[in-house]
Amino acid sequence: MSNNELTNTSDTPILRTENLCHVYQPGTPFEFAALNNVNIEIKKGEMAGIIGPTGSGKSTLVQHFNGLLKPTSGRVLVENQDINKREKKKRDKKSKDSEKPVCFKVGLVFQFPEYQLFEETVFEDIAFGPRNMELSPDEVNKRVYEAMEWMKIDAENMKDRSPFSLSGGEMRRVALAGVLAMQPSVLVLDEPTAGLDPRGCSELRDILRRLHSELNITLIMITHEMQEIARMVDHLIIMNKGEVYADGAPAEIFSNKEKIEALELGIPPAMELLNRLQQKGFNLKTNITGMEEAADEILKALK
Amino acid sequence: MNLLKDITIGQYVPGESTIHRLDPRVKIALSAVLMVLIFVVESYIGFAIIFGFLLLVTLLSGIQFRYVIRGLKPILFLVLITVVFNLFFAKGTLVVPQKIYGISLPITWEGLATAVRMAIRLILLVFSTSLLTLSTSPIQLTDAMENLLAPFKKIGIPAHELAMMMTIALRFIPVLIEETDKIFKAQRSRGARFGRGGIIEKAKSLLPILVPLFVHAFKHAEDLAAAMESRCYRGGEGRTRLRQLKITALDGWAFLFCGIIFSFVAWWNFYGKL
Amino acid sequence: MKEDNNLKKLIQIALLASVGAVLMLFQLPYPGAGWYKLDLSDIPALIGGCALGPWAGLAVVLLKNILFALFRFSPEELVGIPMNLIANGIMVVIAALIYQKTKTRINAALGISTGVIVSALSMIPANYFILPLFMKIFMPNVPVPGGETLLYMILFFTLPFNAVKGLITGILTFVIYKRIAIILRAEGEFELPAKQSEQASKA
Repeated sequence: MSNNELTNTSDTPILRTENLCHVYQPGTPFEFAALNNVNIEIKKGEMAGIIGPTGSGKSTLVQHFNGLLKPTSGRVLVENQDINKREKKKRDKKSKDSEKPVCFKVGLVFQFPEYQLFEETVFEDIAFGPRNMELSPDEVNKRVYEAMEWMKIDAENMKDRSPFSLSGGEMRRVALAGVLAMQPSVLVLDEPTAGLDPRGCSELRDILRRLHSELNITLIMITHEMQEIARMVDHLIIMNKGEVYADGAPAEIFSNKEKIEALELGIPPAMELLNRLQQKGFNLKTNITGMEEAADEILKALK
Repeated sequence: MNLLKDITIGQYVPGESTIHRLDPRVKIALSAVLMVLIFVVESYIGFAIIFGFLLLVTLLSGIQFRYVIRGLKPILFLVLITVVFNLFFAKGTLVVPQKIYGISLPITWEGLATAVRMAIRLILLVFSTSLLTLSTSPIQLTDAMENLLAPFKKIGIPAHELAMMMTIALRFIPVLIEETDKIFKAQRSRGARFGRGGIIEKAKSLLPILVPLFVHAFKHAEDLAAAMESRCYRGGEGRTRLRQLKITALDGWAFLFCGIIFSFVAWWNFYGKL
Repeated sequence: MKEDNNLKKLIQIALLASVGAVLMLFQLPYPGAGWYKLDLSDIPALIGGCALGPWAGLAVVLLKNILFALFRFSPEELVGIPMNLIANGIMVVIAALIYQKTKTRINAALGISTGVIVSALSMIPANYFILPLFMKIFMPNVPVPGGETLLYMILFFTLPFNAVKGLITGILTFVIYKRIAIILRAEGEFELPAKQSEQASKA
């Protein structure tokens, strides 16, 4: 399966930022411009990756997507709606603090999400999100079971267990289910495979891929794993010092080796291998990121 | 709630000044004497000298005055109450006639004097303790405490263990604060709302933050215990230290200087006027 | 090994005191007196007492107060700190003693409630004796309210506040403890995100 084809996309970006700037602690000696005029577009159904050195603003950026952080200037638009715009229609006192529905369209999963578990049972914890959306108990029920199925959580065995009695991998899946149950159109994950063993990593990647292909959820991942990028991502954004450093298809971006190395980021191992072989005189294309394709390319060159 | 990140832990302002370099035990001892002095002294000249002394110390420490002022803010309310109570409720000879504009304001000379003195005392007290915590890091204070309590080991006070626990607790406060912030953000992203409704509801809404916070705390304890054990930590018996508290000439001078000033203040208090 | 368990216990106490210090930053307004805030920093000590025993709980109370003194020292804390030592201390010891006898949910609820009630009640004599002392030091010429007046003042002002704080502390402690007890029972085998021991999941 070619990972450079854009599947299930349309033309309107589902998520877009316009001249997004964010300054921490303005007007104090600790003032810090974390984001500087960031303009990005994520199309519906895309699998996007955000990478960059520490402090480049990746986390700050994604926290704007669901309204956790408000821009110092600039706009964040989800499905063409400015998520920070106050609604003009009159709201009664009770709903003054209610979360605007557009915020729930973007689900944010932080690093080591298992730490957000707090309820008595797995069921209750997954239900937390949907309940906060003020859905009916039946709807909440339905969503919890669906989410558990998606995350391959055995509902019968697990739903009444304490989340703290589970293994690390299971806890992570419960945490993810909790966000999935809110049925966001865009799922943002910060280092989704951090701390998992190789098998856990690949299981999680499979789940994410299926979510992408079957539910058409737009996926945005912050990651350090080049292989993850190579295998899964159609659209790559590189952040550096609060600005967009590169934005496009992974293969293109990675072929500009100097640019990548300037940031001390690696490139996918497969690509690295192809590059070195080319340097040694083999005639092959180097703008390939996937392992299997690289293997094919090498075989071709050996003939 | 991003203000969690802005909170300065404790009041310590790092520096290399004369005051910073004094042995913390000396600073604690001198502060203690000064505190007693502040409470005993009645004379205004005495207060003035003490104030001058504290200003000098502030100058020597290189710590900006605004940090000291910041320490005074919390007690303004207390000072106000003390002044009001002393002013209007004390017994003694009246300053003003019973009623002004139909309101009785029984201000007595004694009450007035006490009010002023108490206000001065409270301010001086906070000034001096602020200086102590501003110029001495919590770790130094803990070391000093361990050292000062060491002789009490004989009567069963576990000085070393207490100091170690203090150090660990101090060390993890910033970590826990940061983690609380992350937990807060994660739960907000799940639609959690805090601070709504009556007090019971408000308290319940804090569970998504409280439970993970405790989980984190126990996890840290787990990791730290493993780390210390694997480095063969065996408790306080015969343990040597990297940082050692040493009394230097500087401390000697500090003792001398303070000794002179404090003695003079005490003498003036009993034999001088005003 | 006993040594190792002791070390871990000490560290857990330290971390609980840390949580107490952090919780001082979370403040809820009292119902009816929104300007006066209550904090949740008594909870870790109570949890420590139930999980690790009465001495451990007391240690948490002590440490938390020392930490508090280091960060926010002001003369009014000369009253606040001893009060907290007494109030929280009593709460913790009673709850811990009752719960340690048999570690069941009912006992936990019983222990915590008894602890909270006795603690709130203990504030009556505590305030009765400490308040006049405080006034003698800071307001020497002011007549100290004695006997009945003082008692009424305490019953109407301090007791309700202490009761509400105790109630919230107790309820939250119980709920939190119910959920994390499984971690504590695992006797040192709790690790995130690695695998959990089988015993814990059967708990």
